[in-house]
Amino acid sequence: MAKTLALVTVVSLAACILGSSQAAETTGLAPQRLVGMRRITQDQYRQIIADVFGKTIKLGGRFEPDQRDAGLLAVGASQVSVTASGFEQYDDMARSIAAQVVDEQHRPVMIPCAPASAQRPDDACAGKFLSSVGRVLYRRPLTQRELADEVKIASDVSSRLHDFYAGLGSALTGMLESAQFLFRQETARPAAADAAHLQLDGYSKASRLSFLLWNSAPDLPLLEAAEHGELDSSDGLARQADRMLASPRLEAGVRAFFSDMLGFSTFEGLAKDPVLYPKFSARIAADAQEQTLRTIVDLLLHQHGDYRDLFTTRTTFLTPLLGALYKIPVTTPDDLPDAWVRYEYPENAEQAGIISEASFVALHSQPGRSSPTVRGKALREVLLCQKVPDPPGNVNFALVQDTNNPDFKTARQRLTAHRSAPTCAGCHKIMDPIGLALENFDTTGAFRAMENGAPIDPSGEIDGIKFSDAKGLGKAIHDNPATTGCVVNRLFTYATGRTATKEEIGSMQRDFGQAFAKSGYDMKALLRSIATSNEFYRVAKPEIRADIPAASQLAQEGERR
Amino acid sequence: MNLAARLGRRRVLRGMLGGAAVTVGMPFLDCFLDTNGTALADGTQLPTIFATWFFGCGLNPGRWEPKTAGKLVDLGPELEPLRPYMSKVNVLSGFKVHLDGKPALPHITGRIAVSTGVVPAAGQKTALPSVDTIIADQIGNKTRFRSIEVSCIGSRNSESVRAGNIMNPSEVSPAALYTRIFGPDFRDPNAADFVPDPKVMARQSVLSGVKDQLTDLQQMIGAADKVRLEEYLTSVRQLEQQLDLELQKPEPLKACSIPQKPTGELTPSAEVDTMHTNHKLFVQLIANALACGQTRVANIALTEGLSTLRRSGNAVIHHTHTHEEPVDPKLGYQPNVAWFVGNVMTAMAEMIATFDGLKEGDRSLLDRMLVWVSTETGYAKVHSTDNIPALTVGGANGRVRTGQHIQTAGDPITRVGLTVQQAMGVPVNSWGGDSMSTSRTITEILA
Amino acid sequence: MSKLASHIANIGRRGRVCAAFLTGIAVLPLQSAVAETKSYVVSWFYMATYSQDGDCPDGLNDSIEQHFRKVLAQLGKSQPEIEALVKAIPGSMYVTYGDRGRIDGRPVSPYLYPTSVPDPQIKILKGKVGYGFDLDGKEGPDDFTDPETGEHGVDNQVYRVMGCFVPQRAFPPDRPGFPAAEWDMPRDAMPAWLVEVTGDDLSKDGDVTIGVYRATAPVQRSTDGAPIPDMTFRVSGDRRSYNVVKGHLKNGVVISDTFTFNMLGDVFYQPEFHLADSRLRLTLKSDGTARGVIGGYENWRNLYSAYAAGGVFNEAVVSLDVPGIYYALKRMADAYPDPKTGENTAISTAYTIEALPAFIVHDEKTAAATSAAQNLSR
Repeated sequence: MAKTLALVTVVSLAACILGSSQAAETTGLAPQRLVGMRRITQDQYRQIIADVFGKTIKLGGRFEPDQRDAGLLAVGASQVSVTASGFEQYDDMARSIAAQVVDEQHRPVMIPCAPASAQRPDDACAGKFLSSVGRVLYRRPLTQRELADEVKIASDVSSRLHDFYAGLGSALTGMLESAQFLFRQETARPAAADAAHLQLDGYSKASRLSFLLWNSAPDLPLLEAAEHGELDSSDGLARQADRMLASPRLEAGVRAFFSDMLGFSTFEGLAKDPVLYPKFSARIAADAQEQTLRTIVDLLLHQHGDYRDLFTTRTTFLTPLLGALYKIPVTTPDDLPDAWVRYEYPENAEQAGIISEASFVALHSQPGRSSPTVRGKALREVLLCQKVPDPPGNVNFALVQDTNNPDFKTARQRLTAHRSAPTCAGCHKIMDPIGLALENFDTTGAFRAMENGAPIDPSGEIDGIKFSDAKGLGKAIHDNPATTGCVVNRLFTYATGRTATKEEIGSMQRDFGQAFAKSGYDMKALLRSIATSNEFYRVAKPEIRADIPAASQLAQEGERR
Repeated sequence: MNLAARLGRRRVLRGMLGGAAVTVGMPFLDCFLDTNGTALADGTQLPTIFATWFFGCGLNPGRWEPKTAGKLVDLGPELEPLRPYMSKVNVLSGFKVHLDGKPALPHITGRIAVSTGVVPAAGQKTALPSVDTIIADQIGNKTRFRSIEVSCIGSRNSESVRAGNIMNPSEVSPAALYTRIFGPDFRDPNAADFVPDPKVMARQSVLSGVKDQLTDLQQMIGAADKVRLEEYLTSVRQLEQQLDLELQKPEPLKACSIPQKPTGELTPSAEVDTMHTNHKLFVQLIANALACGQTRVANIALTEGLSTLRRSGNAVIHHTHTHEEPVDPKLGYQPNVAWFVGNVMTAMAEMIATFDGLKEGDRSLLDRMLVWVSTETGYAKVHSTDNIPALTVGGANGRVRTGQHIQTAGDPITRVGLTVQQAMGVPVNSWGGDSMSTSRTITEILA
Repeated sequence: MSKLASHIANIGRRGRVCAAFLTGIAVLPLQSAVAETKSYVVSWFYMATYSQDGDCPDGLNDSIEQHFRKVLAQLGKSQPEIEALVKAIPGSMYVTYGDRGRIDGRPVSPYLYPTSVPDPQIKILKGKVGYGFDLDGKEGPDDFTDPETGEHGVDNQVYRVMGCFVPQRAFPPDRPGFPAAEWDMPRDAMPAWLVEVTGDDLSKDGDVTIGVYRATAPVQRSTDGAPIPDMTFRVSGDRRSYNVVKGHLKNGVVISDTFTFNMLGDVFYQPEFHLADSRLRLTLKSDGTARGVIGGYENWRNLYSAYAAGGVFNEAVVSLDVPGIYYALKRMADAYPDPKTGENTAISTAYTIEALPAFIVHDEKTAAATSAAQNLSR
């Protein structure tokens, strides 16, 4: 049943693809420059394949890890290339996907035409398929030469192997491992009234908008809008942005952003000692991430809530396994073990919204025990965007080791040296007091009142605000002005794929921060203000060598280098 | 077998591809092993291999250094597991990283300085390539894999970094590595028949097209992204190279035997038992891959710089012990830390035993290897970058003189990286940055 | 959330609990308004043993090979035949044992017809220390002294029958291998067993009410194979597995009044448990777990059928002697004589219970529906 549905979905998609435009021509505009190359993430790759070919297509390979830079995978994507082992894997996946797309089961649905003979090349049919698929995969129409090259590959291989579909599959393989697919290529030209900046072209705008809001490649209406120049007018842009903000697909975009900002990719290597913490498994780690993402989506999207309330909300979502972890009774309809249940903490419960959820406290801990320093640092850097200075080199720990008390019972006792030694205290005082407030949550996220038989004291302070427990910490984060500024900064950085310049940091707070505050810190409003802004679609002029002609001129002159 | 001759055959193959599958009986190439199995038929040696073996949090100072300098006649207690292999090992003591006032990020700076020769300035990332990638670029372009990276504790972050901070991620599962090397794309060098697969040639057309499509892009691209595009192109070429090799009959390698798929691997974690199990499986697999000519560069990361090794059921990791465990007044060192060091050394001995145990004629695989054993600190307790332990293992086909203890009083550790590159034939006269810039090869170990 | 439920929550279990706010499902407490409840899921349930050196003065029962040799000799096999068959254990046992009984010379199953083989006279446990309760109020020569309470006159004849088989022996806290395995194997499909203790203030001595129920779902396992503690279970409304009895808490140990204990088990273990005149004793530990003993009279034929269902496996792999168990159970049965024959139909037993903390939800309507659906799907 599900398979039929999936195929039906793809049929309608394929039908939509039919009749799309051929390769677009550049007109007599100023030459384009490549201003950004951002590798698509694992999730984006999966999403695009599902969008274009449907969910029944299996990927059949592994991804090399996405890299984190300046705290975000989105920024790392602008730095990475593809290593040799990574390309091997992309090739494996591309061949696997292409083979499925052209196989007997899928070809009636995926390929909009039939060749004259299945044993010989058919340039017309190959061209039809490759140009329509290419447009969606490359996020822009293929150039004439690109299309011609792809058709030639299909034709050559078809001849050699006496199989039209093998040839088509080969061409599709090439496209799926090309730099055009794997990297979001952002092209721009000089802006009319702005000497210092370049303006992204229509397709690049469409990509930015779509990856921000839906974490995937532009859909057909958005591509059409780009083609017709609609994205160059603020009305046209707003229309598309509003369409996408109103769609249920917005949830995917919001999830992708917070998943990146909160560092969830680190869960992949996370393990807790199974003897000390047998409850913690890969399943619970997955549930923990999902719990926080559901909390976020529910509060910010479904309830149109205030972003700051993420740190004080008492509403969350639990599975039976999470119930066992947090020691909260959870029953589900029909006792299904994987179902989610909405849960509301009582008013006096010691929790602090998403900070006390396992996805934060378990992620920022060691395998065998919690770590106030790691948690404090994470809270500063992830939620407040405040960089903690690196530790000094060649610190002589021998001086601070209290050999009389080697067996401290609680973390607070163990970290005495961090507080008392002057070389250490400077930085540790901005981390440890925060993390110590979360000490009631052990390394898996379960609550505990004691550690090694000694009671835990969860009091602490942040930037002068004192609190007596985790709840107080949540409130302090809620009230801290850096909190909202940070998410604005993170979202803009995530959206543009690079750290903001000094000038942009100032304008960000002015243009987006104030609107965010006025909206009651509504996430959708923030997304809209970024998605419809000028800043989002322009880049400062990169360093360009003047003697290299632009690609569009080359295409027109038919030169091949 | 020189490259030109090989290219000629490849062109011939392509031209013959008029559809019919080409069946080639033996012998296809006039290369045979000599009767000893220690060299190729035309007299050239079996190629030299480079490997790195990295572990974090160093050793305990005063407990590993041999007392005598010059010939290696004694070992510190922590190096005792290496006693059976003393004649094949060089111990290098007293080398340090000069910080030149730049920040020392614990467990990061030392590692970067040792492998790239430079301490990054405050806030900067590594821009230079690590030694293994320099060597791989030199010798890795004739094998199916330019290099292989593995992690024994499940971390994909490796030490192997190409220019522009492009890291080669580590394999974490021996079974997955097995499939990559000895799976469906493996060509047995000792197989009697060889049939080039027309589908492989189709794949080559595809890759050719992928490269061609980059032309326009290369014209439009800015300087910053140019390096990344070049890297991408290099990766495409590496796969092309693999496919080229699949179309040629490989030279027989007597010592090559296809291993069984590894069993008993444990879900990667930093638990000591898991580390040992997966390390053993990886090292055996790599030894087989090397003997079968699949690569000439292997990078084995036992642990990360900040060693997360731990005992099952114990809350405290190796790294935490190095800071929090008091020095035992009677013993004079930290007992728990020493336990972890003992496990590192056991693994090191296991690695040496495995490479030395793979016989090629009357020699061992180790004899044509240069394994560079490195770590990132001289005393983890205080994050010291003085007296960082280093060892070389193996004779590199006679290029490296072994069985020595080279003792210095604070020489820059870049001397080691320089010497290692020269031993592997990299044409470099000096290496390293700022105070660590050096041209002083450790001549005692270079033949 | 109902006021009642929130009140329960605030008193709550282990000092910090939040009653679930579950849309459409109410948390119904066992007791009336002011009460404290401790709830558990049974992690282990097996024959209670206290194996010691010398408690089988006639020796332990035969090993598999010894048993096989004796049976083959009885069947009239020659020595060379015996050696060949012994070499092919257990396969050869499966072939020969399945019909080694004889009725009028015809081969029959010794498990369906245990008297079709002569009584092998299995070794009986003669030790003096064993778990359980004084069920008949009398002190007899066969009675035990309980190692935990020191109670004399403890009746546990099943332990005497089974206690000299090697796989049934263990000294606590070790678990007897075969009974433990029998409990462990079906656990992933068998609905969990739950124990609930309610009283005014469980930190003090006082009267309590004890409930032992069956859940609507099995336990789930954590990474070490044990059930995950602190999971939530719904009570099945099925009256065949619903026990409520009063008792008394003293010094952290709960002891119940006499009651009839009924629980459904699992067809691969023991399908049904019915203990008459039974008592339950449970130590509520400070780490949230519980450990105890339940003892009572079971219909011995019911017990036997559980062993018979295992058939050849129980003899060829576990080293039991199944017809031998039949004879011994019958001989040592000690209660409820059949009015016509005068033979005792019930035998005294005791089981060890280990339990982990769990949440228990009473939701009779939904549970009844779920349970009905489960029964229909069998």
